[in-house]
Amino acid sequence: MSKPLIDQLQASRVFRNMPQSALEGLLKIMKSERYPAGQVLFKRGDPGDSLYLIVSGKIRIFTYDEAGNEITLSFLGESRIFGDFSVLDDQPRSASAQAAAPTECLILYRADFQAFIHANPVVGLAMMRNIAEQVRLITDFLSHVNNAVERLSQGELDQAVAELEPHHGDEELATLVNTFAEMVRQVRARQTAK
Amino acid sequence: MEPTFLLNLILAVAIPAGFIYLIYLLDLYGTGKFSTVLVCVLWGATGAFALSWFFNNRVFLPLTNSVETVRISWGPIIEEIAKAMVLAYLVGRPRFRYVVDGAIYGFAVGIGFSITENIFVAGRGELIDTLSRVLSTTLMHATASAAFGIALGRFRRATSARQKFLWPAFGIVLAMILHIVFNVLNLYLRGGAIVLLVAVGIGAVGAIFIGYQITQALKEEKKRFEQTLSTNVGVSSGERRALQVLGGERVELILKEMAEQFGEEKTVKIRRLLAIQANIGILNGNLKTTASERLKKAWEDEIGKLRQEASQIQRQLGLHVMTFFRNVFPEKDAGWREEFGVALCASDPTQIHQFDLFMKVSAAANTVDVQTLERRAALLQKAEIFKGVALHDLEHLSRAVSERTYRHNDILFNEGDEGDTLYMIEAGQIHLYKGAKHDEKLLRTCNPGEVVGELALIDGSPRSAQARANGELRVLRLRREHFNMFISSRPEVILAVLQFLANRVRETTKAIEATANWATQVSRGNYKAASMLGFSAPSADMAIAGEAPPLTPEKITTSADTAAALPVMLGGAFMRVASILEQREKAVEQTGTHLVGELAELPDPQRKVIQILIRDALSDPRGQPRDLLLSRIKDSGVEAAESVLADLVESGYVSVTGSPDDPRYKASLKRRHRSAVDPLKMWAKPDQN
Repeated sequence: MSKPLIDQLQASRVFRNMPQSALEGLLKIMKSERYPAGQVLFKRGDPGDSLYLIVSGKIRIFTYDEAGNEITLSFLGESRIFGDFSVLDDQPRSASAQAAAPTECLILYRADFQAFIHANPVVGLAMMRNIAEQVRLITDFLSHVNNAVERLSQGELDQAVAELEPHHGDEELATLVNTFAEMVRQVRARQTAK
Repeated sequence: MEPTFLLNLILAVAIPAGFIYLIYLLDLYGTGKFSTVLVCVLWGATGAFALSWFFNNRVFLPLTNSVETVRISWGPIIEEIAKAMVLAYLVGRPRFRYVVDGAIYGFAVGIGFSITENIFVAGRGELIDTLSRVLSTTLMHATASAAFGIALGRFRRATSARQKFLWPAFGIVLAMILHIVFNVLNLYLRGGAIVLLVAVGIGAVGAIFIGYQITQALKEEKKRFEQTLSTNVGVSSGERRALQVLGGERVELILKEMAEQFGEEKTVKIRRLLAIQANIGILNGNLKTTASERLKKAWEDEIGKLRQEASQIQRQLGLHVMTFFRNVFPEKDAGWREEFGVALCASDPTQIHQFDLFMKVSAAANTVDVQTLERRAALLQKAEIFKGVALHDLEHLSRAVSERTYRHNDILFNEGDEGDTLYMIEAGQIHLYKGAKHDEKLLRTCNPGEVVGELALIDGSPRSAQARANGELRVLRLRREHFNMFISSRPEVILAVLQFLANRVRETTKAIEATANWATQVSRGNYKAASMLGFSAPSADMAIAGEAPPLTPEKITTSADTAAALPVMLGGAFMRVASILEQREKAVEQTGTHLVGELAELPDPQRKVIQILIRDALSDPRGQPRDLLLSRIKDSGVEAAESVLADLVESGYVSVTGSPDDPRYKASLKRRHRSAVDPLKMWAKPDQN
């Protein structure tokens, strides 16, 4: 039963490319928890100290606007991971999480994770490389964003869009590229309005 | 049944059973499982005894007609052979590996045999007689068979054919002699305290003999491991690395053998124990070097923790494995332990303090004084990547730091170089440039306290920019190789760096979100909201430090070496570009396109065409396709669009690419005239217009 869970860990940004044996060890130290529908797991601003892996059920991630109304950011289903960076640093939660259905989660607490890394430094080293690679990827993308924005200011609209085009793979970045292209279309329409 | 008989019967079984329980309790059952020990007991108690009984009573007794003769001649001989049979069977199996196994299995057979024998001869004698008889025969049987077991253990490791024959022969003869001598003594000493004394004597001699043999065997085991591990002497330094890898492989061989002997679980513990001992040795060596009190205390604390862990593991390993361990890796042979530690390190560098070993070997540990180390550590701790790393660790790491000064324009590294060093500025500035020599762009200026190449320290990817000294420059340099060595065996440092990286990802993710918001706002034409996003993009601690690089339009390229500054730069760009876009749109809306200088004096149709070209240039400065362009010129009310355009080309205002029939034909205003109508220039400074 743990096979899909291990696959999911293996696909996550922090545990990517980790050997199966290491992830099995990690699953062993995770604690199982059940939440009835409607229960809040944590609130925005709470100290974050654990990673969640959804075994079954559904989690709603939400935050609040300035007026204090709830805004749902996303729904996460079976075998999704959230709060992954909380095991690495002690930043407060950036959003709240609530069970949208009866939900079972496996939780990795920071203290357990740290003990695990003490016993398996190899895993820590591999994670370091994973995250460094991710930092590079996003930094590289941001430098293209920077170039694109400058192109925009020079009136070079097509080049601005072309600057971001070679990027692919990451879902979040792809969405941003689309938003950017749409923005350039709007700007062009307004600038050539006459 | 009489009570004394019952008591004697109980004693006859309880004493041997007690010995078996002792083997179980002390975890002495060696290579195999405890079930192998029971198999031996069972054989001794049934098969061996039955065989002996048959030969003694049905063959030798009728032959000699004297119980006494049988007891001091044929009896012992057939009994020892019968007991030895199960050992001879076992010696071919993987659970009988060496002398210690032989001793334990032999001991077990003897105990088993004596249980049955004791039951058979249990009488109604005095308690003291029974006690001494049971104790002495049990010990005699056990010791004799153990002697043969030991000999078989020797046989298993023997290399020459002669030894392979001699050891078993010697073993069985020794067992027989021991047995005969005991029986002879027993014949002349008629019971009582004196037999008890003899029993104790036999026990002592047996224990000493077995103990001696085991120690000898383990010494040989150690020698064998040393030979497996030993690398040929007199190798060049170039070969050392290759040999280290080899050492790692050999350690794995030895550990694999131990896993066959003691099982996987215990071998993992043995490996950890070896690593702990190597580290304790390394840390004790560290304590003799120059270091601050803080660092020394950290080392002492670590030694204390390791000792605790070691004693815990020792308890878990049990007597048998620990006997093996203490003899094969004796505490007093520090050289051998260290050698093994180095080899273990090559096999798994995360378990042994490889950095410390390297410092010792390279004799770099004592070359730097305490004040310098403390100064460097204090400087390093200012870098984000080291923020979560303890000061004593940084002091230690500082031994691998080198200091260097550069003169103005000296190159620290070139674009494309392997990223193998981190630079921390102590005094002066570093300029990062991108692009070829004649067309280079200044990406960023780095000031004292700033670091260049943090990510390179982790992933070693190529430099994405050139770094040059701006004025006199003094830096601390840390090589990736040393950093990796240091960090691999220090999980708490790994965790600190992970935290740094996680923060970086959070920051860049925020910048991505800010970009998405900005694009959405610009899309909707909410330029005020868009330029406000410029303030939220950079992370708080980067914005307040005042170390943010000046934001100028020419810094349009950036690179991984300037990663930290990116969100700040983006924030600035968002603000600036939003207002440029806004002004440009306003200008388009309100005034159409302005012309200045000679362009303004052109005849009406030509001026109109140029205005169209300029407006097109706003969306695409590379020009417009011919058909689209001509139709727009006609739309603006200019007749003979083609000839007007041709005139402009001829008089040098407009350039075209491709012939008029070419689908790739494009026309655009020539660059030298563009400045006269450059929307940036016109609209950024409206007062001049």
